[in-house]
This record gives sequence, C-alpha cells and structure tokens, in this order.
Amino acid sequence: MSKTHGHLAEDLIAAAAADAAGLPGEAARHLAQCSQCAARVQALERSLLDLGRTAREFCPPPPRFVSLRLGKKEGSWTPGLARRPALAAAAAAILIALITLAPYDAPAPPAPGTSASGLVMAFEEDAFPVEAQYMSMDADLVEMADNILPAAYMNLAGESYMAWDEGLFDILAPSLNPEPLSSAPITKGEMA
Amino acid sequence: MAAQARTGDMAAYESLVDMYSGRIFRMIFFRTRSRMDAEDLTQEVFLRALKNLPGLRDESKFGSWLFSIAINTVRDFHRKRKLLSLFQPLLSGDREWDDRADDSPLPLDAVLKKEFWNQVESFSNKLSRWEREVFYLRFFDDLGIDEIAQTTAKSPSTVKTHLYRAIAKYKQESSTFTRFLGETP
Repeated sequence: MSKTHGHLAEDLIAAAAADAAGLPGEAARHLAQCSQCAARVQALERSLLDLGRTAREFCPPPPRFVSLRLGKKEGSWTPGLARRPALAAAAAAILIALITLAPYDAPAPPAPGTSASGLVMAFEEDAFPVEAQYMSMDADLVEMADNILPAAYMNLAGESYMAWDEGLFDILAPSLNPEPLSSAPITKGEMA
Repeated sequence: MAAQARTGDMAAYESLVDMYSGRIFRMIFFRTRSRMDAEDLTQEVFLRALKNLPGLRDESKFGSWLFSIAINTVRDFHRKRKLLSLFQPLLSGDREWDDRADDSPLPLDAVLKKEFWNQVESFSNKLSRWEREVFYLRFFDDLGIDEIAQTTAKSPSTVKTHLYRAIAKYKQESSTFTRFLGETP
C-alpha cells in the first residue's frame, strides 16, 4: 500500500472502502484531511452499494410460500451405503458372488421321450437320465435358434450370408494352425 | 423466536421462515442464477435448518447460522452439478440464463438483466472462491463484517482481507457496471 502524488493510492482506496477503520495511521490521517481522497472512497462505496441494490432489484421475487414438507423420502432400504463406498463395494461383491456361485436350477424337462419339437429321443433315457434331459434342452435351443425369426428377417439381418462371411474372415484373418491340405503324408518326389 | 423454535414450536419456526425466506432465496439466486433451483434450494435450506435446529448453540446467531447452511447447500448443489456435467454435456457449458428467472414485462428489461448477470458472472470468475463469497455476502446479501465472519467461520481480519482484494478487483472493472447502476428501474 502506498501514496501517489500526495494522495492515497488505489489499493488504499480499496482498503478504505472495505474497512476505513482498519487503515494504517498515516493513511487514515490523510483520508480524514483530504476531501479528494474521501470523495474517491465515497464514490467506490456508492458504486458497491449500487451494485448490491441493482442485484437485489434484478432478482426475481421470492416464493410466497416455502413448504416445510420433505420432498424426498427419508430412510432407505440401503441406509448409509451411499456414504460408505467400501461397504457398498463389499455388498456388491457379495451379491455378484452369490449370483455367480448359485447352483443352476434347470427348468423341468418336457414330457419323457419327446422334445418340444416332437423329436423322438434315440438313446437310452433310463441309463442316462441327466444326459437325456440336457440333450432334450439342446435340441429345443437349436430349434429355437433356427426358427427364431422368419426367413425374410434373417435375410434382412444378413444371417443368410454367414457362410460367405466365414470365408471372408478366413481370408482376412487366417487361422494360426491351418489344417494340412491333405492328410496323406507327402512322399519324396511327389511334389515334383 | 429461534429459542422457541428450538423447543419444537413449529409456529415460531414458520415465522422465522417467513422472516428469512426472501433473503435466503435471493442469496441462493445470486449464486445459481436459476429461479427454479433457488426455490428448491431455499426449501432444502429450511428443511436442513429445521433438522439441525436442536444443535444451534446461540439462538441470537440464527441468521448467520442459516446463511452458513445456505452456503453449504449451494456448494453441494454446484458439486452435484459438476459431477452430473461429466455425464450430461449440456450441463458442462457456461451457466445459461434461466428465462424463467425473469418476470419483466418489457423485453428490454429482460435483456438488461441478462447482460447485468453476465457481467456479474464475468467479474466473479476473476475472484477466488473466498473473495467471491465474502464480496457477495457483503454487497449482495448485505451482511456486515461480523455477520460474514460468523457465517463463514473466519476471523473478521480474514474477511476484511478477502473483501479488500475483491474490492480492488472490482475497482478495476467498475466502469463496466456503470450503465447498469444508472439504469435500475
């Protein structure tokens, strides 16, 4: 803080507008005697007060009524989880583990001897009851997958070009372990 | 009245709400520039105050205590908004003028208000967080130095230091506000 040309510098004017009583002794004495500096301080104070008044005038009217009813539901079935990330992470991990490790409860098989499509089972069901059950489910799933959409939709979806796509993929990204051209061993002089 | 409200007298608390709701609404509007947000947050401030009223030690400082709740509520609001802006690009841009905030019948007034608040926004961006807070509390919210010190939980000398710095910056920009200050309706 300083004085310029015998008058208070800008920083002292700002300090006086913030708190005139807090000015250093010499600056306070000068301000009390110099009408020019006092006018500068007053102009700044007036500008600040006008700014506040204008802000209040340019503010929309407050609501006539403030409701004291709770807008949000208080109490939740997960109390405090939002504020305890570690607890929330542990709860999520336990939930995922339970879902992952829970034993698969297969749906009830269709009527014995036939699948949903009417396919007659061609193996001994009595000897392999569990296998028979899963074979039946497989047959159902394959059939569902084949007939899941009418042919027109399959064409639209590009499903009918799958064989061509596979060929293209073989060209673009050949397998790392290509099958030999012939399973017969190459004998000496055969290539020539 | 605050002492009565503290004992659970709802009528006394409603009187306090009537007494302070206008100032709290304006205070929040200055910091959000959205009428809808200001209305919602004003309600939230009074609900928070009601919930924490038993913890108020000195009833004579109810006003400063309420302003400090409002400051924290606005800060939480901006924090949430900042977080949401990561997911919603529309919120990440500059604060848009809330047209609903303007009740002026004349379009010219609406334009003037919009320009004024844009100017305030531009000036505020040049202040540090506490310079801005203290400046707003002193001139927009019309609090005294001691009230600001109680509201912000800072010493009066710290408040004066922030205020002096903010005023020094305002002095450099004051000419940009002159046309607004002379044209208030």
